Amino acid sequence: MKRIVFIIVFILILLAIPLTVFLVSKNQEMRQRAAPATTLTLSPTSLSKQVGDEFTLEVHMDTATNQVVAVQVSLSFDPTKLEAEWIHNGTMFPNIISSGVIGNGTASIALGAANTTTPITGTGMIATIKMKALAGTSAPVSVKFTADTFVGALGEGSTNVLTSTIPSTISISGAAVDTSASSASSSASLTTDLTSHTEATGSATTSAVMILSPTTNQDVATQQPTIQGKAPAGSTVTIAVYSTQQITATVVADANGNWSYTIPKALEAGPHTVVVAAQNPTSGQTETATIGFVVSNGTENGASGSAMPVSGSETPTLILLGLGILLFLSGVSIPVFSRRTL
Amino acid sequence: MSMLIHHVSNRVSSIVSLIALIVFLPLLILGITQTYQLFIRATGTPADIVIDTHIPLEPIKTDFYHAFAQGGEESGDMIAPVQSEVTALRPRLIRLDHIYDLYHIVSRDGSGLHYDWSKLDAALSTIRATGAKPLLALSYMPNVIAKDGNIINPPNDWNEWASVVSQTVEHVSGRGGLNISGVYYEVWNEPNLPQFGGWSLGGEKNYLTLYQYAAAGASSAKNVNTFFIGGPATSGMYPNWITALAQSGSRINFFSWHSYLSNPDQYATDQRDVIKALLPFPSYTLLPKLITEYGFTGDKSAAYGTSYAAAHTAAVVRQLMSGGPAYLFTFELRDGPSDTNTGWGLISHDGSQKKPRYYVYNFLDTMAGTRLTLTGEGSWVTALASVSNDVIHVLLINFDPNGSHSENVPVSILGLSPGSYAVHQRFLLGRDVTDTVVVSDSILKTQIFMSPESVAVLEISKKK
Repeated sequence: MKRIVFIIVFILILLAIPLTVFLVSKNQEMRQRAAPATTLTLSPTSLSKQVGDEFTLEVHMDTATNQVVAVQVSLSFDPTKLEAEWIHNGTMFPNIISSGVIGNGTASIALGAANTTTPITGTGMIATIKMKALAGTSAPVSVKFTADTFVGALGEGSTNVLTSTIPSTISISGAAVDTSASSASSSASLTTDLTSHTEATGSATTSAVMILSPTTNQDVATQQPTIQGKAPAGSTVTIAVYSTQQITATVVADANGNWSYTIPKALEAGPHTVVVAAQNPTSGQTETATIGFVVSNGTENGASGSAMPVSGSETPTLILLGLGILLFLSGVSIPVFSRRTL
Repeated sequence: MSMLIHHVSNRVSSIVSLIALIVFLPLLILGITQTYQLFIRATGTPADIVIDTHIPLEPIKTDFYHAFAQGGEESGDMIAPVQSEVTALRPRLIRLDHIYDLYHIVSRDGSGLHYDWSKLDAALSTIRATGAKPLLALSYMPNVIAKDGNIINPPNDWNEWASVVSQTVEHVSGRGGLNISGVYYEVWNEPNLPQFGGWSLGGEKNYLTLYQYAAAGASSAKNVNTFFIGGPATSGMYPNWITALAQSGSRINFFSWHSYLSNPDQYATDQRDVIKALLPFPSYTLLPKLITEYGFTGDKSAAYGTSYAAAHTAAVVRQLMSGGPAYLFTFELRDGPSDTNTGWGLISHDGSQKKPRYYVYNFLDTMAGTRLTLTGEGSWVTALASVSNDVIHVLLINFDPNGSHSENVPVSILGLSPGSYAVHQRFLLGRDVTDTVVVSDSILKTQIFMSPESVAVLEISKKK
């Protein structure tokens, strides 16, 4: 009888371990998803201008619950279509910690709270940029945040707490229309938006640019998945992966239009978004495709050669675990029943 | 034999060719570089200044550049002989280094370490008399505690170094001592340079250890006024030193470095780079940054006594007016005793000559007010605009590293009400004229001729 109780307890322990691991991982995932997320938005997000028009864009911040002490705002745009005249701080950040700089297709400024004891929270306008439309195009152009845009907050260590940026797209019309752009496309407003988390729903099916793997919302077992897809042959494909830290890279599609990119560093478990863009040689427009995928709670890290095993996805794991328990029970029961029969 | 000669000739020929290649390749590269630089200089962009009075920006700081450093040119109180000239500069901070070697503070006998503050006290008294507060570079190692008695070495016992710093802070900042509040203490001076010890971020001469014991010693000082301790005081802005210090866990109240750069733009670039380096360290990003020595070259130069140095100073200040450091220390106040015409000083050693750079600081103070949006700066002429009490000021600086460029600079001021305006042109150590300009369509247009290495302020006010 004692032996049977021992076996039952042992089985319960065996069951409890994976269950506990599963619940803890779920809890961690929930905490990750609930982590405070600061966003930056260029406002207005879309507008129409004539060649020669001057206009102002505002950079708005929503800190969520982060206590922000400093922000580096870096913007880029097509210098053949737009020109920046100046960039200044807005009302939310009184302290300019490095001055505004205008370059050829770039603008940046670094802003801070008055001091670390009075961090900034809430929503507001942090910067303004004055621009001029230089040349018309049939496809809107965008002013977007570049990868070195950074928001630092107290209590978040060295993490860039910026999780989402929304660019501004500008339609420019006028006499000096850029002849490199052909007919207008209603879907083009998101075409050069590599910094937005806005899902370009359906763009993968209508665009010359496609993401074949992973598929939408696919669970991937590796933390360094390979992104594969199609694009016009020989085109440069820009890939942006939106995670805690944004990853941006470019690859060139081969003669058959295939391209592939393996993410060089381990992504954390949870949902991620990948946006790819390439220029369509026929239309002259930059087209994009976007998908979301989920990294399972795996810990595979090819770069580090970690000894930790790959957990794989949940369903097969549970099936294998159940099978293992059944085999174990059958193994235990054989000698017990054998003894009884003896 | 002839084959041998022929063989040797080939070999010799090859060697000679190789040597020629080695010798001439760098010269070729140098030549191409110089030609490229000449081309760039010749094809710069002239300025076309446009000021929009509708867009006021942040208040302009005019105190941060009223900071000055005095090097260890000689023992004793070097500022006293030129105290009145220094006072006229309205200094906010004055930096002294070499405090432990030139002021002979620390000695040792059988009972332990002893301190003689008399020489340092005299220098600090002069600094306070000018209206400034001191920044003391905690340098170098007192020879009585240094390994081998060498003042650029680590101490034999790190606790003695901490004790020396503690005693210094208690004496200068202590309520029972000189009772000065707001003193800055900078750990060492240019630690990365061989002549000051060649410290690094690891090994036996680890600056982080030097800093750690200094900060611990300073923090252990009792009954003291507010003071600030920082570093690394390197000879340039090295992000790895800054971030290493930020991660050291020691008390840090400011970051500091020196800048001897001829290109004024590089000062703004350094500011951006240090902020980028510190963004991942949010608790340290906003700490004050101090450039505790600066100039166009770290070498002594006759140009320090010319309008070139004055224009460079003004151009650097213009670059740092927005988003700049907490303090920018000009090196240095007074020439050394052996300097003839090549010293770094703003004032000659005998006090008889004030160099052109001396006059820049108060001249720039004219710009106090609210910064206005300005566009159209060029490759040589940079500018800044402000408004104060309905008077618009436009600072124009023509700094040419070659010292030869001049240009006629158009200046447009938008958003003015119609009427007559007095346009007062005032040049640093130069002409001073006032014209009247009538504005009928809200834009005031004028031109100003900027000769090489000139600094000017336009003052525009509406006539009653």
